[in-house]
Amino acid sequence: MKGLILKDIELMKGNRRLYAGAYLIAVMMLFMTGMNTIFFVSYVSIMSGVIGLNTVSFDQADNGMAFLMTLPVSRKTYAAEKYIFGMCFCLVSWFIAMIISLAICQVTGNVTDYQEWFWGCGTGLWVAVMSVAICIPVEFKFRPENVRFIFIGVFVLIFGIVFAVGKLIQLVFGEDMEMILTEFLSGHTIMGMTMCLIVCILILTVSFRISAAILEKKEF
Amino acid sequence: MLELNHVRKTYDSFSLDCSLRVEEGCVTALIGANGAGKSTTFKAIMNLIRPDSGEIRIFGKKSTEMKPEDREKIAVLFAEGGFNKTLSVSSVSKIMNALYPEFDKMWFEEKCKYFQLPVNQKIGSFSTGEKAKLKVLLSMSYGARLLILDEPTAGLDVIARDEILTLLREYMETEGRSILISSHISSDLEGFCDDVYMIDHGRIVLHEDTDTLLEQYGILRVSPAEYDALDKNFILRVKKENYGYSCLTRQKAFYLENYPKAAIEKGSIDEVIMLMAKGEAV
Repeated sequence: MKGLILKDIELMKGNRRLYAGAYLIAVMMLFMTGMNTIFFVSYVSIMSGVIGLNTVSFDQADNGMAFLMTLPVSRKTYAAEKYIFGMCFCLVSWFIAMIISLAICQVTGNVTDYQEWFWGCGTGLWVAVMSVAICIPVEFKFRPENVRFIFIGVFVLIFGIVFAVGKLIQLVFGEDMEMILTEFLSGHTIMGMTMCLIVCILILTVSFRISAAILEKKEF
Repeated sequence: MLELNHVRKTYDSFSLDCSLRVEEGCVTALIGANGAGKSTTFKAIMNLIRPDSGEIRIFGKKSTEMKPEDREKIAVLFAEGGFNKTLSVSSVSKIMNALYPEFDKMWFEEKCKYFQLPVNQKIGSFSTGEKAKLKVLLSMSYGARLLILDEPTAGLDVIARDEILTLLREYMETEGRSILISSHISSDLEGFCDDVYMIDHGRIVLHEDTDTLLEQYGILRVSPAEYDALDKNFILRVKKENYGYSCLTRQKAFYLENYPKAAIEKGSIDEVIMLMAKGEAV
């Protein structure tokens, strides 16, 4: 696993100019959105998730996976490393973005409810982690040239489901799903965080099992 | 060291049915035309594809039961594929050091310096020869007992090929090592390999010691009348030519003695491949 993590770090170092551009855009958008730090943190987290996923694309390029599968690592370990690397990269990026944002908030004083602000930033991380959990098995399963279309389809489906559930809740309870969630989470911070964490862990576990199963069966 | 026993794999338009052995201390060649099944065989050995039936044993262990640490003693080189081209030699050296406990960083870096491989440049910018040398050096850098090399000298000029073969010969000077190598360049194999398997349409059609192949195999080039009068008991393959027939035999000495006027050439790997693939069995 250590060798695989080092490989992915070296891959990212080798493409740092490309990624620096993406983070520069995040800083530009911070100014363009009037120092909207929630947006900044969310953008950085999700961008970091995408960048972490890029290592799968790099591995698949030029018949690279066939070679990587001959290295002294199991396919399960290879899959696990992608999750660990992706999650760690998201977390570290999110943390750095949070520190920067906190400093900005202290200077600008444009945040009045830090609990709500934290939930906003946390949601960005949660979305980034969930995106990684959904995308890794898709990258493993499908050919690289088809992956982007599959991603669009998967995210359209997810947004469609969320939208439909939101509408259903509105019909049944007469209230907006976002309002219900915000009220619940504000009033039950610890429980809300625990629930989010549990859902996160469950989805990641299921995603990993699917990814490991896909790789075990795959032929190169 | 390596044993394939009736390894079968069927695709839509191709099927493999292959048995071969690589003995310890030997260099075994697997030769055949494009699409004959060489790469498919190599992939089956490394569990990259799952055979429909048959057994593969490496170091006496079934390939399906091999653990990741068992692969520390195997090196694989594919004609296509390797580390990502955005990595540099120095990056790859760090990665190999972390992956293989026996990775000899000093040896690897010395050899990269000797072959003038740019250490901090991306692999993608290397020439064909530099990429090939890097792959071979990587495969030899951690004391693997079994090297599986798929066209290691493809696309190289004669000097680069000689340098790589010299490296491989030096590698084989240590006991307990073996190489399974595929190549289109028969001159590379003739001076390097102990035995040769020929694969055609997914089947092994010939297995012979290289010395026997070069000394005992011959090509008879005969007119139609000469062919009619020929004792065909020792003819393996025959192919119609403009002048008559070309015939592959394993008993060159017999025909030299009994048909002194016949045009008989020494068998080379290229000629044997040609006749085994294109000729008809007698």
